[in-house]
Amino acid sequence: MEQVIQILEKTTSPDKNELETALKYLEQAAQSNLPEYVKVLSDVLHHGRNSTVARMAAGIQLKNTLASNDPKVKVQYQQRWLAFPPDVRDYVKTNVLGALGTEQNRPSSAAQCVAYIALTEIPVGQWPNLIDRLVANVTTPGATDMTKESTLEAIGYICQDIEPEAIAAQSNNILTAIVHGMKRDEPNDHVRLAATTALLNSLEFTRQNFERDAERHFIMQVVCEATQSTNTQIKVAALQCLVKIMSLYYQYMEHYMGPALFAITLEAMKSEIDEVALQGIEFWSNVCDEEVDLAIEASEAAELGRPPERTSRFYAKGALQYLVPVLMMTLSKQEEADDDDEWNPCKAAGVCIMLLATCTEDDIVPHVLPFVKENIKHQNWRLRDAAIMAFGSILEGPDPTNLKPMVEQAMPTLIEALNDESVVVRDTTAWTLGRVCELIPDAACNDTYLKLLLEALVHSLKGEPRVASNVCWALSSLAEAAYEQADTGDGDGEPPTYCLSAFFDPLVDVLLQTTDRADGNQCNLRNAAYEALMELMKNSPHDCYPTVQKTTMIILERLQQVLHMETQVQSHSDRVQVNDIQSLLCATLQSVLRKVTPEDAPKISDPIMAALLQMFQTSQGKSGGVQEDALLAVSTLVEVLGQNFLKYMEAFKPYLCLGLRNVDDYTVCAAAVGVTGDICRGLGDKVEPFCDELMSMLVENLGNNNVHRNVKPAILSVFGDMALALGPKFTKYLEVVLQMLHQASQAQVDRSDFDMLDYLNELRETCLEAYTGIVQGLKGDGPNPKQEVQLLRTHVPHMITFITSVAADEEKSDPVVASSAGLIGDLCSVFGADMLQLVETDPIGNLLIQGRRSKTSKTKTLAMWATKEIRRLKSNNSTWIADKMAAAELWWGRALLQHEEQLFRPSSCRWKHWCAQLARQ
Amino acid sequence: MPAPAAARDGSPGPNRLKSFKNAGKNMEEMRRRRQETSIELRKAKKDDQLLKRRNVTLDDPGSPLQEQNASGPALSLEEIINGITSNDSSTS
Repeated sequence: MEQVIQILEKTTSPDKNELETALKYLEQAAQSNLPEYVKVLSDVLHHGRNSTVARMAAGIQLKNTLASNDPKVKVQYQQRWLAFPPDVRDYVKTNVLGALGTEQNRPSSAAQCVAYIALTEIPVGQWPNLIDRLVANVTTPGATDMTKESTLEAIGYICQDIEPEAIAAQSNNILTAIVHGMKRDEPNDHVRLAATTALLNSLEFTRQNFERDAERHFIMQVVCEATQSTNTQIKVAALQCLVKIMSLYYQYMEHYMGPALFAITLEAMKSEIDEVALQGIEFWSNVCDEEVDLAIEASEAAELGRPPERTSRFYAKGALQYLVPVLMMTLSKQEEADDDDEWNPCKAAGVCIMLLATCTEDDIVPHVLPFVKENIKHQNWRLRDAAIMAFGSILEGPDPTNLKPMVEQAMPTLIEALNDESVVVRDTTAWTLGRVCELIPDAACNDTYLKLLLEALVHSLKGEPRVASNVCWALSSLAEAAYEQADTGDGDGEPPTYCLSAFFDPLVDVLLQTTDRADGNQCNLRNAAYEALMELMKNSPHDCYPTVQKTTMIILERLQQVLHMETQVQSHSDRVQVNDIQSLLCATLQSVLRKVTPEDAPKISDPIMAALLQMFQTSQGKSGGVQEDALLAVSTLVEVLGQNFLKYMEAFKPYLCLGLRNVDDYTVCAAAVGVTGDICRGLGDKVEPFCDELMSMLVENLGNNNVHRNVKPAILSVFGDMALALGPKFTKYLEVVLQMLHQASQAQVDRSDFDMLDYLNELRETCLEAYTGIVQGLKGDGPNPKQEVQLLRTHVPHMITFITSVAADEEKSDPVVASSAGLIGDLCSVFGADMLQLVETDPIGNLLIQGRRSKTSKTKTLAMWATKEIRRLKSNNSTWIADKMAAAELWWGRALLQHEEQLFRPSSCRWKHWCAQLARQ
Repeated sequence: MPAPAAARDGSPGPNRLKSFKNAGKNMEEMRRRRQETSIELRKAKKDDQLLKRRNVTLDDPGSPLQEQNASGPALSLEEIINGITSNDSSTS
């Protein structure tokens, strides 16, 4: 035991050798008899005689047997603990519990150990009396401050990481302890802070307590009181609680907003202490988030003609006149130096104003505008900067028609401000002009200001990285806006020219120069410059094409150059920069390749593909980002070359396969899957020789649980692409693929999780796409279905069952409705009248009604088409009558559907008369 | 539903920072957007391909082949048949 204590003390030794020896000893002890080792550690932690250092070290080592950043390893450790004999675990638990309150150091090591054991045992129903013990530690009269503090810490850790379901039943108990420690008359600030932090962590599973008025009142009272503590840490923690409570329990806040929350948070916003001000501002940013969501819910509900589930209380609108002045003041507390990663009240205020603008819309303008007018030319640079920041922040939310006149008025001042003596002002001005180009583009893209604006922007590109970077983003927005505005003449083809045509060449030149700046790695400048270049290329009219061609060659040259640099890369930061440049060049290639004509593409594809292949080779195992961008570039090359891509397949295939097998980096895998689909589409049946290999990798990925779930829908989609490409030759894969689709179509998810619902919709959509591709592929594209499609006959009932269950799902997405309709139509047109009994059901009928009413033209079109196909079958393939009936039904809408039964009853004289009339024509 | 900006311990920093000026537009974000664009273009191409094979044209908002809203007036059997027969007479 003495030995262990000494070894533990050595784990904090500054001597590296001593440290390593100590750790090795401990590792060995752990390996030879872990249960004993753990018991000894708990003894060291427990006994007050032992040195503080040894106790702390024991605590850390003990914790490490149960904790890991790798979730899989953590589960292993937890299983390992649970497998220890109960007497060992009890021994340790007694020790660690007993250690609470006896330590000299802060934070408590014992608290962590209690927590990690609790996180392991409580979810499986063990250590049932722990919470009671902990609560007693806190609430028993005479409990020492140290005991209360360390116990509350333990409660805090447990609440933070445990699954809410495992602890919800104990929420009353836990809250009792927490509130006890948080009360205003608790004299010890450490105890109070530990309690407040624990409350913050418990808010998610104490829902039922918040739903009970009396309890909620009490909790709110305690929290509000804690916000008035003179101890900054407690104040901040209490404010954090308010912020979280506001988002979790918005609908219960009405009672407290006026009397307490408004004043508390406004006061906080004004605080000189940054952490306090940040929380005050965050409170209102959260309110805006909630109220924007509620506004969306309200309008969706209105469309469906029913009341929304929750309603906004318009707190933001109500508080606007008080919030804005405070935020304007905070905007003028800028840091002079620009630290990209630092979050501070000034930045927070800017974001808050943007959120307020989105939330309160036109209401915000009269509160902000006077400040802007008054200060935009103030002699104090802080006020000038604040004015311009405020102006830029309100450009989204209010009605653009209302904003436009004031923006136009401000243009000369803003353009001038690009040359302001303060770099901070220049930075903000560049950003604001970017907002103008993005949100009120007509104010920029006009004869009056365009030239002046461009000159000033181009001049600023030579300035500091923080300014030049924002200028680049502004140019991106300008390029998009100019193209949007351009006249496409007779359709939606490419416009012949646009307002930037005369400036195009110099802009491209200066941007290329900017990308070459040695300080391009600062303030995201290089990224911004390439993005601006990409936007110019993507959004270019016909008369700029020669420059697009030239730029393509320049990019290619640079790609070849940067590949040469591979050998010179030494430091880590060099590596990062080279990777970024490669990525950005691939990305720029993507945008020029989308513009290049099918005639020009083959002329440059050889050197481009050669460079991309080299890039794949050098980036293997290193940069996933580069591989992704290279794969996307290949995608665009396939798009523009079509079958001309075939000659590159042999050389490209190994890298495509490496991408498909990349289980670790799922975005690379997904990009590879995407390219596979593009290749099927581009090569058509010429993809056949490669399909065995590709198919086996796709199928393998589907079955592999280590592959991220986002990849699976993409794979299903590619099955459809491959079927369309191969046509009848797809039959060799049919059984395997249908099996996978069968499985995927039956997937279920946790429906309380919005993300999982989205995922389910995506999975179903791609399932349907796959079925569609297979039906269409096997059917062929001739007038009569090929015989191979009959192989699907036995699977049709399942497809219909799948569609039926999708139809019944209230959360189905619009694209799912579209794909279902498409498949229904395809099945009808292939399998004829046999389909009638399967599709003339209520669920499918309702699905098609929903589709016909969709706001998306694709969904509507497909639903109408499917309806027509069904009608066609009903009237024995008489197209003319089918069309007439379809037209009539659709014209008179729902009324006709209601009367359908009556209309078709033969006893109706009118019906007979009408039929006779039709027959005569 | 908890606001996206707040981290588990209540600190808003990293997520809110993305909304400040152009701070959110880093390499990873722009690459993610490129992926999304690629996916959208792919979808559009597939949709076109299928529309062609099915011989369907995209619905034009102004066409008479419009499904009316559920809240449209209910018509009597007389009116419907009158409507259809009058359509016939106008085309015959």
